[in-house]
Amino acid sequence: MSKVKFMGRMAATVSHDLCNVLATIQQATGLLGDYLSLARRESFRTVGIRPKFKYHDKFQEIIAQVQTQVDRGQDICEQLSFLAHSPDEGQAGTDLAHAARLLFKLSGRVARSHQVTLELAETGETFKAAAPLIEVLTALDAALLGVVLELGCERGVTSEGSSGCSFPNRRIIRFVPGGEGEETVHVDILCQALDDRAARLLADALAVGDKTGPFSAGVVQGGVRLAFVRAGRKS
Amino acid sequence: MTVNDWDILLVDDEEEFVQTLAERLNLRGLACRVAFDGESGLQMIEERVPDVVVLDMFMPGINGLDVLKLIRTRHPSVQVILLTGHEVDQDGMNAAKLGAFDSMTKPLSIDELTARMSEAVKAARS
Repeated sequence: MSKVKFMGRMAATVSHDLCNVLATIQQATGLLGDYLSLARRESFRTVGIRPKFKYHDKFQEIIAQVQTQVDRGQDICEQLSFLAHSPDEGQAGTDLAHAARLLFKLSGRVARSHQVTLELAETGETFKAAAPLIEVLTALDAALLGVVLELGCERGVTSEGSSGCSFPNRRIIRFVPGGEGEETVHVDILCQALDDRAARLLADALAVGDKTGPFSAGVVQGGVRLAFVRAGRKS
Repeated sequence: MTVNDWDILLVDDEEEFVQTLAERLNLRGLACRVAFDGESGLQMIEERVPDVVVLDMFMPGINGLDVLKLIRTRHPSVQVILLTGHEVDQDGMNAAKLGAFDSMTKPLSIDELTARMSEAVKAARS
């Protein structure tokens, strides 16, 4: 078994176990809420003889907080599960928009910590690369980290003197899937902060870093382009 | 048809989860039986055939899909709601092929579960 498949299998198991933990927490807090409601109803029925639980509203608030975190955890589990199965997925082609969406969810922490916004252009068309999902994810992630690294150089030089940015549009990283002819599909990774020189350096780094990979990297207006062989292309 | 006369069996190896779920259903007037593995679940079905079985997909011993196959063979009127992981597309397809009434992912909303149970009970008694 390859290392990637091994990691995928382990991640799938962890995701499944985490889901069970979340499910138990969810039902336990739900049960707490049920008893709280029951106590309130009994209090109403006894016309005040049995007083209302003093911390009823606070308890409700805490239960709602836990439920929100359970929902958040469920979303993370779902992404982990997708990631775990990515080595097996995409043998018949990987939808580039789907891969980008998955990467966005998995990279939420990176985006937040670098104060960047990730956007995906809706093209209304499906562009499929002839590469497994894991390969496409790896390529997109490398490009994203490259852009984030470039943006990192801009941090702390704002007019406000904070780690924020006085040009918020410069911190938007936009992924644009597309295709040219019958041979290739691509994702353009665009960011205002990437000038031609930075884009060239990034494209070169991506190409050097993955010479034997399933994509090629080049420069486009405002960013870099990762090109993949189109799925279903006649060889 | 009131919830009081629904005959429900919950089968899941996550004991705390399934006991808590049963208690919540109980508070809603729904008395359910609980089994912690596939074998006990099948045994309880033989003792008294329920309307609906809520069945976890992944369990040690006989897994959920095998239990589902056996239920479909032995007691075709019993409706099964499968609790699956996030591989819901693949599992959902398998579940449909094997004749499960429905499938849900964990964590799950109790209101949604009771709504689906209601449909499943109707199907079981039709």
